[in-house]
This record gives sequence, C-alpha cells and structure tokens, in this order.
Amino acid sequence: MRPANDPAAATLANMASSLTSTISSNGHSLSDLSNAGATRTAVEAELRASRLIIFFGHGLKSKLQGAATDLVDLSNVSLASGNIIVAIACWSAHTLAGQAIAGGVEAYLGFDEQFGCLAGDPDGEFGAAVAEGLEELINGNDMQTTLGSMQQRFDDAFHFYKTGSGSGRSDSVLGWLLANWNKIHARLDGNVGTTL
Amino acid sequence: MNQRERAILLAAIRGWVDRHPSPDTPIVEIARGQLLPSVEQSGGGLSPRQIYNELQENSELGQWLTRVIDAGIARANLDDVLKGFGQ
Repeated sequence: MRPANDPAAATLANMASSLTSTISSNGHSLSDLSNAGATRTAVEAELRASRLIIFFGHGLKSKLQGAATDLVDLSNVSLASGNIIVAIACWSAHTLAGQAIAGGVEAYLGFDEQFGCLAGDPDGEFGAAVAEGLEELINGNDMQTTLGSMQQRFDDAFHFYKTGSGSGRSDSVLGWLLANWNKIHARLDGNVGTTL
Repeated sequence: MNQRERAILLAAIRGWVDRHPSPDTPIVEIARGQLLPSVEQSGGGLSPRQIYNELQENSELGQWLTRVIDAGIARANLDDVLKGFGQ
C-alpha cells in the first residue's frame, strides 16, 4: 500500500519499488495498491487476504492514512488477524500496533515516533534501509532479524552521512541525525519469531 | 541540551539558513498524517528556514526536531552537530 498522496508520501512510495522484484523473484504474489488504487475498500480486502501487508505513507498513532481517508485504523486493523503488518510511516507503533496484536495480527513492525528522511531520499540511503530490512523477511527470515537488519542499515546510513561519501553534502547533518532517529524508533510487536 | 547549548545550536542553524543556497526548499520529509499547517503547505516537507523557525518557536515540530538533535548529540556530540551546521 503506497498512496503517494503528497511529495513526502511519494518519497516513501518509491522506497517500495525495489521490493516488488524481490517479492516476485521469491515466488510470492504481489498486490500493489498504489496512488488512487489505495482505497479503504481495496486495503481491507488485502488485510484479510495477504500474509504480509506493507504500508508506505503517512501515519498517526492510531491510523495509516491515504489521500482522502484513513486506510487502516483501530476499527479495521484486526481484519489482518493471523497476518503481518509493516508500516513505514510515523507513529503507528505507538497505538495501532497494540490494537493490531490484540486483534490477532501476528506481528507489527512500525515506528513509535515520527519517521523522517531527506526530501526525495536523494542518495537512496533511507529507502535502502527499509528495503534491505524487509528483504530479510521476504527471503524467509523472521521478524526479529528483519528489524535488526533495518536498524543496522539505518546505522550504515548514519555513517554514510556522518563520515562516509555522503558527508560532503550541504545537508548531511540532517541525514545522519534522521538515520539515527529512525533506527532508534523502529519497533516490533507481537511474535518476533514469525516468518512469511 | 541545556539552555546555553540550545542557544549555541540555534545560532549555528541561523547561520546555516543564511548561507544555504535554497533556504525555502524542503529538505526534510516527514511521514506524519494530519500535518501541521506550516508543513502541509509544502507537502510534508520542512525547509531550512522552517526548521529554524520551528526550533525557535519550540512548536510541536520544533520539539520533535529537538528530540532528533538530542538523540544525535547522545550518539555523537554537540560539536559534531554544530560542525554539521557549519560552525
């Protein structure tokens, strides 16, 4: 799910791009609800049907948002009972994750604070952190490994901007501050040992 | 950050904004729903000038930016952050 309903959401939606080939090459089927296709009705169908639901977009403590409506909130998150949710969005690990687990969702990986990145992710560092983490899950590893890989890759982004080849950018300080922030605030709830 | 460190940081960021080639172009994006009006106008982005203003006003976003910077200081140190902003 990647509604791409404004420039920031579009940057997040682009982070999903490299995952689509990884998912397909591992023999999994993919339903890509992007742009106007990310409606609440379509999302609810996938909450029921998909083993893994990944959201890229705007979030609040108790909801994941689309262009003109909430796509996932406290009233429908339990439709994903028995499945796994990953939300690359602000805040949803704060409240929505707990409701999801209480409603039978097997595991929820999200962020318990605001998720930030350099505008447009010009070096692909933030997208790589997200994608390389999720590739662990798609390749058959468990959620704890997925979280650890994502945090390690955010750490790599921290070093890229602080002392590596990205340190020469005029805004590199924001790159390493935000990479560090996202690493700290990635959170996993539910069955940490679950796999696809 | 204590008050003295915060004042030093704000002065550094003010200088960074003044020297920035695109002080009003968004450089940070936030994946937060129901954005505050100042951020919503730029599609979820914060420009260098907005970053300074939000910090200066200690608004909700300014407090978040302070938390981000505090976490960076804890990981590295204040001098590294100041150096990043050109001090």
